[in-house]
Amino acid sequence: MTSPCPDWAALVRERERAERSSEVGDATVDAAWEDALRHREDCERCRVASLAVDPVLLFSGPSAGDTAAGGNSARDNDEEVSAADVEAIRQRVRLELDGRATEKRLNEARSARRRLPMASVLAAGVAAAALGLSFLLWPESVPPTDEIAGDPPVLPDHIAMAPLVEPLGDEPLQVYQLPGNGHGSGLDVVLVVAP
Amino acid sequence: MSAASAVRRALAALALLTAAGTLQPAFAQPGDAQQEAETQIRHAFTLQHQRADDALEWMQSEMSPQGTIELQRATNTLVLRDRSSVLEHLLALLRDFDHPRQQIEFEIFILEASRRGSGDPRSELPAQLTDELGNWLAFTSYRLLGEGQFEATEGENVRYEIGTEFRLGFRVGTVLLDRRLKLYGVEIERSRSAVLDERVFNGHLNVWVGKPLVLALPYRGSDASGLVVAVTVRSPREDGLGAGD
Repeated sequence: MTSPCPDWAALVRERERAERSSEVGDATVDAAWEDALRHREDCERCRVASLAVDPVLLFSGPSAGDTAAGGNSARDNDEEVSAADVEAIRQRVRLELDGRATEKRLNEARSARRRLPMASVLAAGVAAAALGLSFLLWPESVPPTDEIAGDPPVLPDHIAMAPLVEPLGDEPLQVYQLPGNGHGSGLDVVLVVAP
Repeated sequence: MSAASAVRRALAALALLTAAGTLQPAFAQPGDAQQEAETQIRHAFTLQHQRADDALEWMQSEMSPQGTIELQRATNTLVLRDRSSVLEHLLALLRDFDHPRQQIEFEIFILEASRRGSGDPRSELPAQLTDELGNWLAFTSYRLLGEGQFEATEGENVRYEIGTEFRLGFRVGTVLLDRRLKLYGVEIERSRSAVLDERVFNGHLNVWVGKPLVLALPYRGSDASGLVVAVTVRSPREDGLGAGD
């Protein structure tokens, strides 16, 4: 490890700004981010610091080409695919909930959906996905309108939008629910972090 | 920002405003007044198989703003009062909900995950999880601490020990129309010594039948290692068998 430790707060701010302005994909911007992630792999201090800034970085690592040097060639082909997937996930997941926040958001979502035609709810769901507001989507995959129309009775909103994990107890846990919930993907993954 | 991107964001913002209810008047339907005038009907439904309080949680958001719902726990009955058109929908859901209690099969794996391991990072993972878990979590090695399979019935309270180290407790909910199952009050405890038990998780889980739910629980103060708990539930409904089939 030769590079100095980056300022993770500034780095994440810059990365998020780049994501918003569609600069991600630019070689210079991406190289700086990859350097930081590669550095973090070998730096305990940076792992702690980066997660303090953005816990969702637990799901991020350097891209496949960077890990090949580690001698773990059996996974390389997988990671060429998964690194991009993981990065896409990290961009989309900005869900930070404790029990009260979960209930509040659910209540807001329930009352909003109750007043609206299904088409508007579907549009909002698609829009939320586009904006990275995955917390609006429980489950994330919204069924096509024609399927809903042809399959009464429909699933109650309360359940369709329920989170996978509802923490109990006094401790304010942070819950990060990855997109891809519901039907259509092979696994639901939820990160639960105690402060 | 490109023009297409700007349009997309504008449409997205509009849709979100819609979802937030700020444009509600725009969606007022000509039939609203007629709906409000529709006679409210009171309908009592005594559940024969499942718990009414579980159904209550499920039904509440389905009522119209003028509708009410009352739980009579002593008789396991829900008393619904709403417009007839809404009631039809609610009763259809309730009839499906109140299916005879089914056996549920549980499969649980508890793993210790780390970013510092060597060798094949997934060698000890169950085959069902190997293709995907590595793509979701940044851990590089997994060690199997315990696994178990058992059966329980809807509505049943379950206590289960996995080896000498882990204890698991929860109440099985009801398999819903969409094949989601709620596990109430899931507690996972770990015995690190003869006298000290550590609760590693406490909460409700909403699990899709047939689909593993993976809880990643980093050790306190550490991002480099933690527990990974994978829960899979299966039921006859998973195979397309409805209630009473």
